[in-house]
Amino acid sequence: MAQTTVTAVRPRVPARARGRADGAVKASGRARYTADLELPGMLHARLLLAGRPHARLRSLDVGAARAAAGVRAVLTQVDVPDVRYGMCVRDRTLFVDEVARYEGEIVAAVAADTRAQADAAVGLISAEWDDLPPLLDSEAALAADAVPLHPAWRSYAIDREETRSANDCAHVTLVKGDVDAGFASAFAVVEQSFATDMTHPLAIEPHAVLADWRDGAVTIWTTTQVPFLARAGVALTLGLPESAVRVVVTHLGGGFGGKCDFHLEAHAAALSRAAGRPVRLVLSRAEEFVVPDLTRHPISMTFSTALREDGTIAARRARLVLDSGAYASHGPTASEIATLMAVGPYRIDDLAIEAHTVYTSRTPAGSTRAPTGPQLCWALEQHTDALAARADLDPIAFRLRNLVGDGDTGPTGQRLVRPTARDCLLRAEEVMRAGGGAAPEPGWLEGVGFAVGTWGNVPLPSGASVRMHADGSATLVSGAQDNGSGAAVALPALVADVLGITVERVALVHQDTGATPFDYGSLGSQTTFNAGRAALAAADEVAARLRADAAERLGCAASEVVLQGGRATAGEERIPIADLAAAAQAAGRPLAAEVSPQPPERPAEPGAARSQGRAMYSSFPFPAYYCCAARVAVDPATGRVVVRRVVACHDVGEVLNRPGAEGQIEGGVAHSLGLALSEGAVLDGGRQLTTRLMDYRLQTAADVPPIDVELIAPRTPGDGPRGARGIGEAGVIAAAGAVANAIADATGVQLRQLPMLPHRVWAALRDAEAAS
Amino acid sequence: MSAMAVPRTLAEALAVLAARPEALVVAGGSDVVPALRAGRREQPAAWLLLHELGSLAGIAPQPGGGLRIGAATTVAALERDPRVRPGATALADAAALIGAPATRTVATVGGNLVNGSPAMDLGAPLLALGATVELAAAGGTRRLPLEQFLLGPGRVDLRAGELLVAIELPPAAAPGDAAPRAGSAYVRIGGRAAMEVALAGAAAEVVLAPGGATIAAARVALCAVASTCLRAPAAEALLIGAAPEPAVLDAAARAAVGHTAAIDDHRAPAAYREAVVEVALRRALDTAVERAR
Repeated sequence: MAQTTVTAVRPRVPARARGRADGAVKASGRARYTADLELPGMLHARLLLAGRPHARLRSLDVGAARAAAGVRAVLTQVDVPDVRYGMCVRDRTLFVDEVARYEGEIVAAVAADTRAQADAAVGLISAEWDDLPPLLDSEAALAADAVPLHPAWRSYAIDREETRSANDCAHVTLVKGDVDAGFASAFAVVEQSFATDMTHPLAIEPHAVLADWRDGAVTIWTTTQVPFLARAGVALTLGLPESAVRVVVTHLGGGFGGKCDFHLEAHAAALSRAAGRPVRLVLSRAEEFVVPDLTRHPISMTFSTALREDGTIAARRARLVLDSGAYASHGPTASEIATLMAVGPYRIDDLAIEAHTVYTSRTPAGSTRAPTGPQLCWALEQHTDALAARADLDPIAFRLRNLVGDGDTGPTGQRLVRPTARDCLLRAEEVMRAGGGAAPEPGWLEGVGFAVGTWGNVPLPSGASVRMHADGSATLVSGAQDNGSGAAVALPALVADVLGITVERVALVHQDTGATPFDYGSLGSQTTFNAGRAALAAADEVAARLRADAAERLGCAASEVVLQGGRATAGEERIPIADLAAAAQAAGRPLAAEVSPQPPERPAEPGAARSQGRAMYSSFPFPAYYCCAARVAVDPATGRVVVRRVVACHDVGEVLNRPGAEGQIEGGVAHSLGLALSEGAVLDGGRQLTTRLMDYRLQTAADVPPIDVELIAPRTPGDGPRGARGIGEAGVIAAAGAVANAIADATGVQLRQLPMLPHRVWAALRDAEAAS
Repeated sequence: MSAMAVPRTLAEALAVLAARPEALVVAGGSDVVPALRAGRREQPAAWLLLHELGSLAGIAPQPGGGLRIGAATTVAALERDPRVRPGATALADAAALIGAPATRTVATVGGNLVNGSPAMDLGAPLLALGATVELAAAGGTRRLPLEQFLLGPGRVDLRAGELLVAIELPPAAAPGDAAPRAGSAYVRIGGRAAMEVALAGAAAEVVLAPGGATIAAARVALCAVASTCLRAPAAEALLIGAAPEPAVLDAAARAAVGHTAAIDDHRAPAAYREAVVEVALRRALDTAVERAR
């Protein structure tokens, strides 16, 4: 339990409350989202979906649809270039190419004068199918004699070394030490299996695209989290130079990873080209569940962990089977992350972890917010509690004995510098134990559970420019995309701080590939980490120019100049920043800087070569740590679980924007509680049954309990701007595991299937009672 | 263009229905509008919109006791009405659970019943309170006990040209008791605190005999465990004349399960529904007895 006190590195940017720059327009309803946009002469697009999980297209006749009233274009695969695309594996086409592999696969797209005409025309398309046996079970799909879902899989381009087999598009491993030796000398071994259902990112705003093709180039307004990757997708699939494609995003109504990758932009663009008119496509809520290829992976997991007599973990084997659905999407990357999450924030010398990324006949899975994080943390932290019980230690003591500490090495040999996993756990425990809460209802069982974890900050390139105008106001042009989290719209505040002007005087230009430098977009908790660093670097350059110019005018050293309150000040002397800016402009040396700073170098990983199939996440670089504690009440008669209270404790590095950081964590916890208790797609033969919000059940405001967010003092500065770390994903990871452990604390029973629906809790309690 | 009628009187409404019996009747629209928008229901050729028909909404005491509830009375009105809360508490319990405040403000009791969902929240309480439905047509009016009105999933006994106009609840009085000792309750089992569809639900009304030592009258009803909301006579038989004691209530709740015919669906397995409907009824009985005392 020994913990030394730590002096935090003090932030240069004060962590003060800041309003959301996009708050007023959104709250008042004035914000215009993509589905609100209209252009003169705009057509409405609708899609024909396969509607079956696996079938060969025998014939497709769009003649009647093309001839129908108001119809301006009908497209199928024969109307677009014969090109395969895909984020990790180029395994798919824009429209069904002979075989449909999931129910939401697009067969044809129609553009018509009205949405009703487009709907009617979709109904006139005649598609005849020969149904093929669907692959519904990821384990069965891995069998040597399973029919390959993609007979041509060997010919698909892939972004990493070849570790695949027919239905396994990436076999990813994580190997360290000598796992056989670790098990051979074990005092005890605990083996457990867990499984999770398909869930959805489920932004309230559906996918929407408005494409306007004219004179050989296309402008596409779209609901993407990744404008530059969407642009690349359009260019690839329609055979265009990237310079002919401009992707613009207005306000994005949530993403949660579901708007990563490239989805419907090319369909709308191709329709616009064919029709010679702007075309808008907006998915319905039901389509939103089945069409976009970014569900959260269902995962089957088996952990086998060897313990030493002193209650430390000696070795672990784990086998993870990720159900990728019909296409790979980000699945191979998700498998990399899953293997890291299977180790968790624990010191384990001997590891053999493997993940299969399996093709099945359902809507593809992808990079949903913290891909694989909540599923693995939920399972692993229950497993960790089981290990604690086997070691005869309480869950806190067991974790303190096994969590990584300074100088420990990660699974690929990365040296960890003063990790804060223990700080997060101890703080979460302290806050949870101190809090009171309502007395338990009679007949209900109460329990408290903890889940600890780690997550990476991925260093990626990102560009920004800052230009100061003659009146001392400034414009930030950033590649960043804001998915609704507020991460990008908070960037001008950082720039304003550096330049010594008010945030109202900083304009933001972003979310337009025609105007901004490259950025990977809103994924991987990277916006503050990378785009924030770029914005600050550009602002720093402009500030340096301001200081130098002021020093010359004031006759002092540049280092003596402070930029604050719209003035450059040195001692008693001051000069308005606007004067400096006007003079610079008049002299033909405008105050402007465009930068794309080098990302921080990833830590060395001397053991990385022993693992295979890894391209993006060999490790969690620049790891962040967190712990979630939950108090729950369980009604043993009905299996109903009510979460009473959550404490979410995070090391986000230095805090740049406290309300923003707390909001991300609160939202993440609410999302995680949905994964824990109510969200989960129910499928029948490859078709989702739960494609309405009454059936696919998010947590409501009435369900989410009070959440205490604790931002702990970091022990090392983060490697993001001003010592910050990313926060967009970590908040969603641990609450489901904390709730699971709290249920087990209350009832003595662990849950092996996520979500922990009332009937599953009830059945687990009944089975445990029958067994005892 | 489809025909759209917005009558201001019941006679007008019934005339429209007589002329266009296929017209889609819309009260609050909380079920039908989302179904139309999502394509789960065909766009109708004719509409009968009830929002201007003020006489169809409202709660009034009946001359001989009991309540008459207009079919277009909103769920929010049921939730808040000072006569429903003590007189037909199970109904107020259920009304407070439906959807979210926005849903309750537009949803109506008539719409809930005519939808015929086996999981409707108002069905079991109205059955337990002994409701009859009043069905009007241009040619005349008929009354039916609610259990005869509910025929199956999405099916009710509403004939061509008929409109559900009111629900009537009899007085809940023990024979010969000047101060009636009646209480009722509805308990729903679900996974969320709001916007929930019952995984199972149960309602009970209990009338205690003078002195409170025995149960003089009882009605019990279940929801989401059969093709309609339904009464559970086996449970009622065990309650009537017995003492309101835990063992009796336990036995009645257990007996009610014999009336169920639950199915597995995407919300819950049948075995779960049948197990927890007993729990729901046991809790409803406890609360009803407590409220009767």
